[in-house]
Amino acid sequence: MAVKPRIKLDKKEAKKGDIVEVKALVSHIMETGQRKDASGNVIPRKILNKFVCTVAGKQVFSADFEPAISANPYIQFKFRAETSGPVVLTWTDDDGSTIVGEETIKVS
Amino acid sequence: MTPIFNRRQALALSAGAIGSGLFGVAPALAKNDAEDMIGKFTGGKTPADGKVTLDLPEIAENGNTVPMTVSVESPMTEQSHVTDVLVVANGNPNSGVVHFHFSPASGVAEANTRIRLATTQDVIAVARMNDGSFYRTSKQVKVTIGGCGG
Repeated sequence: MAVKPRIKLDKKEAKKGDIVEVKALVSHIMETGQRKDASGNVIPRKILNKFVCTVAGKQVFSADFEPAISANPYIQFKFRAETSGPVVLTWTDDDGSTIVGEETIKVS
Repeated sequence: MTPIFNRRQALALSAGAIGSGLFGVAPALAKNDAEDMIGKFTGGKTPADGKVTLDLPEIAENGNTVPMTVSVESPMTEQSHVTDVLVVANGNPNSGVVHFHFSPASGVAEANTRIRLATTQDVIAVARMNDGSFYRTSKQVKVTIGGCGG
């Protein structure tokens, strides 16, 4: 099942140079690799370890996550509106799969 | 033969020795490699205080999800901007928490996420500027219920 991230921009239309705030939430267990199951076996680590945001193809913000990030990771950051285009958010899982979400920003 | 110490002096001395021994050990009680990680990040430079703000609750009831905002004072222009912010926690099983990468296109060097804290501990944020200088801040968070599935 593909996970659909929830993304919110504080404004969809911005003037050039405005600061746009992005809030994003994605469902993920973020298993730390520290916990043990009922029979005492360590549950293997499975987290989203990388987050990247590009606006109109240009990377504006990224983050490396460690197991210390809560389950269902929430991230909030800002960028300066320069050109209209897609705002693409990508999370990369430990197993190499990715979760991608997209919004659009209009810059006047 | 005259004893060099009487009993009382001997006791006081040995107590002193034990005491100083304990204090000698205390700095080595760092729980994980948080300081090593900061050292690697700064390349051995000592970060200056200031510029970085770490917004965390004083007391976190649930260590599984502690809201954290980190912001750095910077004009965020091509000439002067924040490139990275490293956040570590010195009481978690792994010291790393998150590593944010900013760019001039970020506009504002500020990010918010939710983190796990195993126990009461210090959270430390170190920012790297594009000119190679480092700034650091730390904040203690008291945790009521740990967040590492213990």
